[in-house]
Amino acid sequence: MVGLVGGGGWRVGDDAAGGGGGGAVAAGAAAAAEAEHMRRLHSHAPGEHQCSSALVKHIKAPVHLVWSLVRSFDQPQRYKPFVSRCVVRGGDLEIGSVREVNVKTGLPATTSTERLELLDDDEHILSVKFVGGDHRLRNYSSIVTVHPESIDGRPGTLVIESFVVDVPDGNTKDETCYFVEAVIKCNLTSLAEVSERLAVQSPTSPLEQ
Amino acid sequence: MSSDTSRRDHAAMAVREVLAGDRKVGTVSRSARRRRLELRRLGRTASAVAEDDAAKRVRPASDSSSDSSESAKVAPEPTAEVARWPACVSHGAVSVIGRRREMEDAIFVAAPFLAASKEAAVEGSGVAEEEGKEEDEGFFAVYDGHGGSRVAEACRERMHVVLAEEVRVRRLLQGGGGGADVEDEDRARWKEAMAACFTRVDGEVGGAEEADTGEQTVGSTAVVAVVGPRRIVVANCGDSRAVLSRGGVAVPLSSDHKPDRPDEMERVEAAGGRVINWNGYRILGVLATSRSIGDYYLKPYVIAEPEVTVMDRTDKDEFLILASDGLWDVVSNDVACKIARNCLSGRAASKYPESVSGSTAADAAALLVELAISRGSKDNISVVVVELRRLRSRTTASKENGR
Repeated sequence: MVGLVGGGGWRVGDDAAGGGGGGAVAAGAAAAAEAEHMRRLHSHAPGEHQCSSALVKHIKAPVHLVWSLVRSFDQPQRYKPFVSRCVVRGGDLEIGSVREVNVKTGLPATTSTERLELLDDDEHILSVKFVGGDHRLRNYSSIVTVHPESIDGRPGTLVIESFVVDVPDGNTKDETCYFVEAVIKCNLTSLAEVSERLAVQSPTSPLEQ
Repeated sequence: MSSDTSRRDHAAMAVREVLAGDRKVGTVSRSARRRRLELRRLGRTASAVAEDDAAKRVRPASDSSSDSSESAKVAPEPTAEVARWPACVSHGAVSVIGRRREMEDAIFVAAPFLAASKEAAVEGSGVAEEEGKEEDEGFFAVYDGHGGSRVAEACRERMHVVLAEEVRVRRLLQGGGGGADVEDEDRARWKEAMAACFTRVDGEVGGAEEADTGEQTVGSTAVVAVVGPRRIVVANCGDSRAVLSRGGVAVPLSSDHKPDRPDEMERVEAAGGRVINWNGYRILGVLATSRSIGDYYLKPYVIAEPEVTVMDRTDKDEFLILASDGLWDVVSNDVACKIARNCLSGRAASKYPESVSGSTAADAAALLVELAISRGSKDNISVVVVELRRLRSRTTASKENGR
């Protein structure tokens, strides 16, 4: 059903046909758009002992629905399957807000403390930095952006999530990237499911697109 | 907190003494007397621990512990000539939340377990005889959930029901006659039934299309034992474990599905996944067990297929322990069997009457849980003890009943 099977479709440019049905020209255009978003919004400068990567997901739901889930810094559990509970210190949501996230059992962490670095409702950009917790992701910083696109002639959304993080002692860059990507794939798969379910429940009028 | 810790230390000492009791000959030296006095104090503290931890956090382990003393009284004595034993003499189970915030372990005990679904049996010749055999079989299981308790709870509700169906279907298909082939066929049928059961329950827990966020990332280990008059069938999926005490020797009846087990790692990699050491070896760096019920997001790397052991019983078989890794992470198979043996034989209770409350299977399970807590287990802890043969002498038993 949802399994994280195979490599295809996650990396930027992998999924040239992601827009669906449009043939090589449209696919090329979609790939070019992704590359442009990447260059403009997801440029990390990983250090010697860091790794960085980006993943993409095409969602069959309009941008405003997907963005409403992504932007809820205080409620990541709305779509992130590994989060059991989240509390924002202070209450008000603003740049610099810090959330305490509790992670479900069976995972290599139980808590994570994360700071909101950037929330841009015009450009649809969310950036979060990990500042504490019992996980092994030191200096983890992520950027999520969402972009409107057309999937089979219907309003869809392209989500790009990129990150940079220290490679911990005892692991290689490759392993670190693989692990983080596995977690992000789960999150994006779940984001797609929740968004698509919402889209079916509340079909949007053409005016909202 | 500090008093809590010291109580646990005391409990640990009591257990160490119980362990050591085996080797010590009963000469009342001064040190032995001092130890006894010390233990008397421990008796109170240990029962305080029992009140705090057990009463508050111990989940009533079905009705098995109250059952067990009853069934112990009526159970027929095994006779040496016949190669059939009562499926189990008694059984007991304890399941505690331990130091975790959530309780995600579940246990289930049903003895006899096939009798419940008897009405479902097709009437016909030969069925009555089969039923006579079935009634002796006991079902015992430990489920250790992760990512939530939903799948472990589903296992507790469904595994024995589904297994009964799968076993019944295969039993009814069985032809008459005897011989060595029948034995082999029977074993093969048990393996099939277990595999079919695990697959079906795995399908049930992940099914719903409209599943909520997080439904895909819930799972549970499962270790299931069916104890019959002639053999024990253990099916395991994950890192809970079944261990048999045979003539005082611990014989594991399951092999943990850890991602770094060479054959498991090979299987995961062949399926396109990776095992990464990220706070211990994990599938994709995420999950620390390589097989489970549920965990749809990790398929096909994490599978629900059980490994099945069919073990013929011998007259040396004493008891069976099923437990979650909350026990096995801190207690070895050998130590667990030794503790349970001392308890079931009545030696622990007669030597330390105030720290060890009795010699039933439930007492043995409780003692193992205490030991795990005292050794710093941070997980939920679930232990099922199935007594296969009376270890206690009649005199000890009657003394205890009269106390």
